[in-house]
Amino acid sequence: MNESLNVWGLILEATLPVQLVMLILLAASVTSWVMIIQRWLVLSAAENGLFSFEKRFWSGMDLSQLFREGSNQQKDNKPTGGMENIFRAGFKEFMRLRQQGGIDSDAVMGGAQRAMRVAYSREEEKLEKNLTFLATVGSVTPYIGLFGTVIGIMNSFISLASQSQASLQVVAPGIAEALIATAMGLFAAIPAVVAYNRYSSRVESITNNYLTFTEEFASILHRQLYSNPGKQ
Amino acid sequence: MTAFNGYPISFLFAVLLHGSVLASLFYFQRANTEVLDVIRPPSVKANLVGENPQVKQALVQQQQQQRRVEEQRAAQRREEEQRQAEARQQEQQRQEAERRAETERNALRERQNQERQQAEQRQAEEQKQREDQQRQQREEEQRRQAELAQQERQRQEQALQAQRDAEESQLAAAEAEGVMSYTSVIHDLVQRQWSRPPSARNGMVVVLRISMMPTGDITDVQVVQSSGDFAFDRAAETAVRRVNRFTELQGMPYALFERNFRSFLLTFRPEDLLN
Repeated sequence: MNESLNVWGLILEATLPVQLVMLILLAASVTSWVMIIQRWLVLSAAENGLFSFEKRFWSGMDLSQLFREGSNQQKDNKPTGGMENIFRAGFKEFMRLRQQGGIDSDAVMGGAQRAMRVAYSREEEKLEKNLTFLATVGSVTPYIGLFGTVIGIMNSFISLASQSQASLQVVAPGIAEALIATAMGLFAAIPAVVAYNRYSSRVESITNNYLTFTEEFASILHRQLYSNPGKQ
Repeated sequence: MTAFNGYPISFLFAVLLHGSVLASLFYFQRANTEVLDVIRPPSVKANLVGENPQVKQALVQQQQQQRRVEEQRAAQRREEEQRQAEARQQEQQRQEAERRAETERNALRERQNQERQQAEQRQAEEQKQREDQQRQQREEEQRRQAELAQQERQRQEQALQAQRDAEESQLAAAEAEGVMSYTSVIHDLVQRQWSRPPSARNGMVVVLRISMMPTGDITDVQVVQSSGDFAFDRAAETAVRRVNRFTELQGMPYALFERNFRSFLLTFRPEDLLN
């Protein structure tokens, strides 16, 4: 009697479809947790990089000096942060167009902004990677668990039909075994949904920061371009 | 420009997390079962163990019959021994009579030597006497032979009787077996319907008389012997009534049904009750 109450016994004695469902749910749960932890690390790193770069950017440092530091860092095989990438793309394009000469200021400004927009969308993509997987896990695993439960309960009722006398002892193990599938589905879905919501808001705040920075940087470049047109 | 990726470490963390969740589940489950072991309620197993009195009767009858047969056989043996002893006695008597006759004859011959004249008359008489005696002996012998023949006939008859008895007991055994199997079916069906009331106590016994049709339909249920507890009696009666029809009994041979199940007794007693 006590043996049959054991969750492990129920899992091991479950019918094949239910066991398969449980296996799928376990795999989904493990994968979603891999994504949750990895996203957490990535977003934290992006936030840290963002704050440190902003501090450096507004410290009054020469922009070409900042660009060179970034290049050195990349040479050392250390990746630069997202905001720095946007800055580097815009600054590189700006310098290149300016050095070519004979290009009017609007075109230079337009080229730099385009380059920054491209870099921005690339960074955004990097941040949002795998978040859709979490959303999928969060919305689908309860259904998979429910499917396993329905199959399990169906089996237990079929076995009940073959018994001449209906007693709780006949149905109970089957239903308990089936309910484990639902529990596992919820176990996989809840953290995935929570993480998806949390991370998408974080990604949004980071990308908002990027956009603001892009605008600010564009205005700086604009000022530089039009304040001393004689240099052209 | 290689983007930061923490896949290996996050994979490690995820697996560790799931492992710990499963391990804790395992641990708590075990703790739970241990606790469950401790607070186990007194086991209450409802069983219908009362055997059918009819079967018991049949068994008792069979045993009695066997005992009777054995007794008969023993009596026969004793009679035969007695008869043999009687025959031996008769033989001895006859031999003694002969011996006595011979001595008399010897004495006669001596006396003949001494008094032949007187003897001649007496001799004739003697001879007549002897002839009488011989005749008597012969008659006796015939009688004995007739008696022996009669005994032989009796013995044969008894053997036949024993054979017939054995056949009958075999039939009875087969029937008892059938009754047993049908009784177990009835017990099984009734027991499934039987829910014992909480007022049931060890040592309570209810005997019900159940009347049944050959189709297995129950026509009447009566409490023959009450347990003294009304609820317990009612529960037993309700169980039988709830069965309503013993469909398994429909294929029973008619004679078997008539002899054992037209009306039979069913005993209910609560078993394994700890209070």
